[in-house]
Amino acid sequence: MSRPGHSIWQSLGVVFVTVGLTLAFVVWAVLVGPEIQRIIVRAVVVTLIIFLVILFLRYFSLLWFSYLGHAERNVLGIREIKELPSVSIIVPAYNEGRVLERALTSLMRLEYPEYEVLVVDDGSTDDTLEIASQWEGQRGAALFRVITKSNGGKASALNAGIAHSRHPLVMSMDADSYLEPRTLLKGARHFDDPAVGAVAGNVKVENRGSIVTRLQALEYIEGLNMPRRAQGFIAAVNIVPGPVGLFRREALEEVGGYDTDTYAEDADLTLKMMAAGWRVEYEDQAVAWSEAPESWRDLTQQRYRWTRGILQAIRKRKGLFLRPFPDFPLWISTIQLGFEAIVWPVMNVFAHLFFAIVALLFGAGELILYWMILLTLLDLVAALVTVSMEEESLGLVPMALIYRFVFILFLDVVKMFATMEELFRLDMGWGKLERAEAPS
Amino acid sequence: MNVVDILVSIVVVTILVTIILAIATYVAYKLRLAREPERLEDDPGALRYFVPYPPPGAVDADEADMEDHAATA
Repeated sequence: MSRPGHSIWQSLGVVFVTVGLTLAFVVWAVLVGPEIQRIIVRAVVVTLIIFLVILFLRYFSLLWFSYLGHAERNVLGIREIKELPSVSIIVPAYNEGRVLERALTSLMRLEYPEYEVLVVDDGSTDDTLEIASQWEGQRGAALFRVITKSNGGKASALNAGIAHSRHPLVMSMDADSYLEPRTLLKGARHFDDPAVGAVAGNVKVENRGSIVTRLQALEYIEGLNMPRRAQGFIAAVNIVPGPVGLFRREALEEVGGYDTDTYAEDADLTLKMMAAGWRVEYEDQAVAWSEAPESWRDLTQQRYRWTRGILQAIRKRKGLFLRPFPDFPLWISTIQLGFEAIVWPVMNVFAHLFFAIVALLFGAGELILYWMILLTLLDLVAALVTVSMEEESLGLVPMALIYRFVFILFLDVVKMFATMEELFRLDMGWGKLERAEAPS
Repeated sequence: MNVVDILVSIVVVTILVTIILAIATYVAYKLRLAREPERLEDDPGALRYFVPYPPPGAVDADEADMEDHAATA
């Protein structure tokens, strides 16, 4: 995929046009007569009501289905698999020398009878290959192997790993993550059902030393894992995350592995598998701890790539939006993916902006305040419920006070610009996040 | 100014500042991306800034080695 160097002016153009049009509308709204201003205020109130209805429906359905998924596991009992299949764990790595040792150590400690670990060095220029090579050989129940290739991106590295793997189940894992000892055991049991093609694990944020990382920790629990739990109840999880995803080899081979034409290969593969009829489930006890971006700029880079990658994956399969049957859960899952990626961020940003402007210019501040208090209370309740379900630290719940109108608003601005760049098909590149030294 | 007015001001300022900071961070990210050097797509291993400079003695030694190998072959 090409480098973005020559598209910087196009990107800035997208920003200036968006900001310019918005400011132009604000100036127009201020300069027009009182009749038009009354219409604007009424339009804002109607928008507020529609926004609230959608928000409540979204939260209610996600929390309800998420609870049903949680209850199914805890109340009805855990389905135990008769015989555990062997697993190939693929770890694609590009310049991950600082964190690879910790990832491989966690893999060595997995409680599982038979598995192999394939580290795929994707043409690293640091000591990744050297570190990985020192791990080659049998270590307990695990056989560690290393393959190296010229740099081709994460999807090509994963495909190379799949091609060299030997077992009926394949797990993908990020080199900057590490697994808990029972992660593989908890995920593999789902494959007793022959219709299951993939299982999404539970990604948690490991580094929580700053506000931005603590907000991401809450977001992973409330904004990512809760929807996955809800989708898992209908076996239609729309993204099997890169840090921890388990796949049936037969399903991977049927859909042709990872495509290399998007920047969200995980979302792309999951949609491809669901479209082929495979069930995609969620296991909240298959835990992977991952390193979240520690600066707002690195977070911007990550979410920009996620948004454009997801939109690229959706674009490839836009026909799914028009086919609610015969696979209704797939349709619901696709609609939800598209809504969260495109509609919701734009609606959220402009709703907040217009409300702020209306409060400033037209004296409707009290209405806006009560609305924000109501939403914040909703966020606090959702945070309490989801943090409790995951048995996580209750210290994350107070972050819900600034979750919506600081953190989510920030991300939605980034998503909005990313959406516009994808709409205009501007060039993009992977970028590489700065890695902190893994704690020993 | 009563409590409601103060809270409204806090909310409005927070929203506007967040949006402005998000735009600024996005622009900063794009500028950082534009400043990264381009990769040599056709030859990733090629040296971009340095030309190999062999020390004066090394060339003669190499030639001597080749002569030795030719003599013993």
